[in-house]
Amino acid sequence: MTNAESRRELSAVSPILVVDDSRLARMMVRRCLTAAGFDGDRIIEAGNGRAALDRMGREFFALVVVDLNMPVMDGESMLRRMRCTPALLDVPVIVISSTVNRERELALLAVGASCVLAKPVTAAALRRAIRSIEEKTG
Amino acid sequence: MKIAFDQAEPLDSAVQDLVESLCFAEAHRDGSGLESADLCWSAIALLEPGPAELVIAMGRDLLVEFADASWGAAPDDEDLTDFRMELVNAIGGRYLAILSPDARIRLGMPTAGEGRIAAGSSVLQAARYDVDGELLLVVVRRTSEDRSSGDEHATEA
Repeated sequence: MTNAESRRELSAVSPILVVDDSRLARMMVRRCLTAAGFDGDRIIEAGNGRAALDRMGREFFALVVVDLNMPVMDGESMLRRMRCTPALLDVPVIVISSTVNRERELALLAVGASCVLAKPVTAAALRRAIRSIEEKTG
Repeated sequence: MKIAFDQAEPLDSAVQDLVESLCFAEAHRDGSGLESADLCWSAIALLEPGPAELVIAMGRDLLVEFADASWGAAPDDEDLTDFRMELVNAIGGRYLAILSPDARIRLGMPTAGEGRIAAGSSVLQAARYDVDGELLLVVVRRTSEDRSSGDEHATEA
């Protein structure tokens, strides 16, 4: 099975949640995900961490891609809440942020991020991150 | 730790990198100084390290060109506001990561508007970039602790 087939299968089971307050940023992530083989119809969007948690309380997502700097609830707070919630403990989370340096990356990995990427994200970087998560989770 | 908000090189690196990767264009520093004309601006508080504020400003033609390159479709006014807030957010984050690679970095929430960028003693650098013959102005200003929430901006309407 190719990586693209594997990702299509993953996407067929559960949708992916993209969380960012910027419509432009959400659209760019959506483009990257579709370029990486995901079905655009199964990509769901939320504008902040609280809206995302509400959505995750109603349905299961195979992957969450989240920005850090958002109003209402930022990405790090959302991630911490997820890692304290048994049903969301193992959901992979890719953090995409403009404020990424070594200190920030290590801090985010320590609170449960699966991967940390700097903005602007590229399809290739997102593809590598997803592949890395797939390998870790088997 | 003293942060070199007045040095050109870190700012040039952040601006040029983000303009290229987000807008598919090249920015070349073309001097320094503010601009008297009204411009489309966006601003973000540099909280840690800080406090300071980053403002980017450009004419509407360049903004539309940038947004069109990123968006891939004709942007409306809401898209233009979203785009320039995303751009200042990305430049601000990259700028702080360059200035402070090993310590905590944090930004405020971006704001946007139109008007003249105000002069003042708090301006640490006002960099003018040439992008395909159009002006991209990037200003770094010192802010006091109580102004570092990101709620205020550095412009005159």
